[in-house]
Amino acid sequence: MDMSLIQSSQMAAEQFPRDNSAASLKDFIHLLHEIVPLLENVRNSIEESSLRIPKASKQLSKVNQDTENATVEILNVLEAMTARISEAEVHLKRLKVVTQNSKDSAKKIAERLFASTSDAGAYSSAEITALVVNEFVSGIDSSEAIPAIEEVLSKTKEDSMNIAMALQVQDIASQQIASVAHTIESVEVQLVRALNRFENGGASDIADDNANEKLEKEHAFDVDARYTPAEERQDAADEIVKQFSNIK
Amino acid sequence: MAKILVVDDSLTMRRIVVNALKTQGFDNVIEASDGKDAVAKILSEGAQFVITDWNMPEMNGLELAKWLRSNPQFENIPILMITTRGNKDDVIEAMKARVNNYIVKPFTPQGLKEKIDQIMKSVELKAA
Repeated sequence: MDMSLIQSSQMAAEQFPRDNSAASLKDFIHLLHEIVPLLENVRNSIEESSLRIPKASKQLSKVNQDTENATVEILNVLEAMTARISEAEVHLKRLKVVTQNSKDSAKKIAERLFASTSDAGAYSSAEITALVVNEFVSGIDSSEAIPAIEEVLSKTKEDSMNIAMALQVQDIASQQIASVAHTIESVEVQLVRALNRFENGGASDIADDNANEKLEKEHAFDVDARYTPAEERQDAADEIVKQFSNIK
Repeated sequence: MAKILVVDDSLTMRRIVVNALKTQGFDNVIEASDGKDAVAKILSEGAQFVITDWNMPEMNGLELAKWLRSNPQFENIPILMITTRGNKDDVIEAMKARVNNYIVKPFTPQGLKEKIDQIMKSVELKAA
């Protein structure tokens, strides 16, 4: 507010005859004297806040960027893990084939050895060898190692997929943060408008309207984004999709 | 094999969707970061299936769907929307834009597979 105007008003009031209107005018001018410093303080606070807001907004954007970078790193590791698991599964399949072939060969050897013996009574060396071979085959049959390894690999693959799915939280959190940043920037626009009114005595700045439009365009987010199991919302969506499909 | 275009402004989400597609045997996948990028990619590289987010800068998923449906070359291309928007009005708006199916985030690999299968089946039925 212009101090010279207050001073002029004060001088003018002193020239008036001392009656009620002059007293009121003097009171009013006294009030202005008290209000102006307050308004200056408010203006300074607004200016200071408006300078800090872009920093807050930038910090939020940085948080989003950093979490995205970290999430992508995790996804890279998961992809590498999944690739190694798939490789192990291929080797395991080969091992199964080799094991089965070994079993079949051993059985044939045992059969031939038994067939080659002729005397009843004491075991011949061929029979003993055949018994050993059969024991070997039984050992392979009773070993649960391969199925166990298959199950471990399958579960590990499933777990890494579940971790990847859980990382959707980063996208959803990013939208929530973007929503907060938008609110902060909207406050900044309002503060700038308020500052302009202080400076220009109430005239609006066309740049304010452009700033709002820009805000709407730059932030692409869902204000209601949330990381909660989506079964109910998905069921509701499915119902609507079904209705539209039936209409066709 | 059908080429799938995955559209999302979030790099994380694009990676997750692409990985989920790969585990289901879909290896021919291209990506776009928003609707405008998607239009450029589909015109230059082509695609037979579009999976798109809704909230994106430049051109959002709904605008992309409307553009595809208004273009004779792509008017029948299958479109699956994957978005955090789960309100009834949003789904209706998407269906009015002739999106084929709709997934609410966070999604599951099984859910994605089901929706893709549903769309493929309906497209085959229409072609038959």
